[in-house]
Amino acid sequence: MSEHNDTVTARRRLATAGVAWLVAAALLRTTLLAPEACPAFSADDARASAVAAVEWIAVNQGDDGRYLYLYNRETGATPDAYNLVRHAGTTMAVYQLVAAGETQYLEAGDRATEYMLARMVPTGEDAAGWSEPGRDLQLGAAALMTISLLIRRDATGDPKYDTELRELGRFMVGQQRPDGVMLERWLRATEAPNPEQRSRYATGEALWAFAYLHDTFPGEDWDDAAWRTLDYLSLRRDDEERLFPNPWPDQWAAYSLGQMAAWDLEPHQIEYARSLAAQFGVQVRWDSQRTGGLATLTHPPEPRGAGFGTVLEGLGRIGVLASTDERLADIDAALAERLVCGAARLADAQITADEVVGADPALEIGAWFLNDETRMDDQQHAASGMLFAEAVLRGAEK
Amino acid sequence: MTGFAAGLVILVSAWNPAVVAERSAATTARWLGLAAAAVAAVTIALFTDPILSGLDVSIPTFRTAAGAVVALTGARWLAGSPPRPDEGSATLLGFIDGATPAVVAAAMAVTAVDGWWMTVVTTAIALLATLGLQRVDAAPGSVAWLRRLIAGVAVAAGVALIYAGIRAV
Repeated sequence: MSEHNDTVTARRRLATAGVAWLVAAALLRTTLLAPEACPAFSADDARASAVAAVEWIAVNQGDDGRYLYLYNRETGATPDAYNLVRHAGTTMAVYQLVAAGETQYLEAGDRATEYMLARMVPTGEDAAGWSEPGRDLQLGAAALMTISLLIRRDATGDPKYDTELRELGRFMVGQQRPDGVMLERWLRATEAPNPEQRSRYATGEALWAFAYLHDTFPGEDWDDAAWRTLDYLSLRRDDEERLFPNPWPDQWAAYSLGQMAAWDLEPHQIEYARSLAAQFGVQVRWDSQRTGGLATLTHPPEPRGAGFGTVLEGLGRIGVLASTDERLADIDAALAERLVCGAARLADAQITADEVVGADPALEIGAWFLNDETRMDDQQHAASGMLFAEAVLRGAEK
Repeated sequence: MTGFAAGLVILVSAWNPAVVAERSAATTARWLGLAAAAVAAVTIALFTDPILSGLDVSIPTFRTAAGAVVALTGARWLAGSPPRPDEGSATLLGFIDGATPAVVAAAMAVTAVDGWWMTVVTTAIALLATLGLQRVDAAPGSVAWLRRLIAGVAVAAGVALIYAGIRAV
């Protein structure tokens, strides 16, 4: 500033501008504009990661078909907690790997399937769900069991569970309201669905199961149920159930949209897919900026295998839709890029033989740990996501 | 947040012709400096792809960051004191007026999605608007109000750009 009035000199303005540029550049580079790190990654790397994850699931499975649910490598604890929906979902991931050619895991998947079959409960005429004795039935458990059996059917060509598939499908239809809302629980006490309880996960799981049933058994009207619930998801669910962010990044909805890629989706359903894709894409971009130092502090939180795996699943399945439907062709390449980047980062965090810290390597190799704890769905979702990344990378190789 | 109207709003508000006009009257030297700043911003924007590649940053991430810069700049114009008159090399001062982080970030953000021609056209409009404001015989205080109005638009455009960056794959 000049000495005699409120005028600033050119030198002062130049210095101020220089400081503004430096401060802006430094702040941005450590926050919003931190570099996005995507390690080199191949289709073989993705397959190896998926195999290691499912190997963890299989070697730690009990003789009764139950998986190891939780393991803390610091304390060595393996709590007796269990989750039936995750049991069915993990079986789905095992069968996905079988379908990809890793048939050595068919036995593990079948053992887990027997666990579910032994707990099936009739809920009406030719309808059945499954649960532990005395416990209410969950829509999500039935839906993911359905999907597991359908993937097994596709992988082996074996139709031996077709009766159970239709029973499960009819159970799910019984949980559906006419407006497409899916009810999460079937109560043993009333022998009817609980009209009050919904689930942010089970709705998309049921939708995928309906769509997959229709593709497997065309002409049986499973698509009617699928369309109803897809419209509920794409038009009303997030508002009615007050989910945040909106749209809620629902990888089960993404699986469904991928399954329905050839169904000639309506414009609002395509827009829903586009919005979902953005939710998944931004999560990979954000995580890829966690490159250490200040950038890690400014890009929390450290994701767990399950959470980040669902992001990869979402990207992979909407990628299937985008590669089929021209209306999403503009995001096809970006979806593939984010999927591969995310998979590479996730694979980097997977425990290898060199990184084992506990007494039993089988409890650690192939797993993802957060705060020294791993849960079976960390491996489940990550393995599924890796398979989608592998498919993209194999396509790129061609 | 794409297309001509969006590009125009982003670039003109990031430039804020009223800030420049309020600070100084039109002189050929000052205007040359402004034109040089516009050319510099457009030139940098032409290299948006290799720059982002070198920075290892995707387009949506960059647009989010650019939106933050534009919004914060607008907020400073809204909340800060009015621009003070300056003295010295008019060409240099004109260049400083135009070559700001907000203008360069906005130019790159627009180019990344809409192409270089959009940036050229909208930057030229911002430049001409500045010249027009410097030459017009405005009522006292009216340019200050216009500065605040455009600052508000800059905040809104920046927030919209952040949102667009987040809602892209």
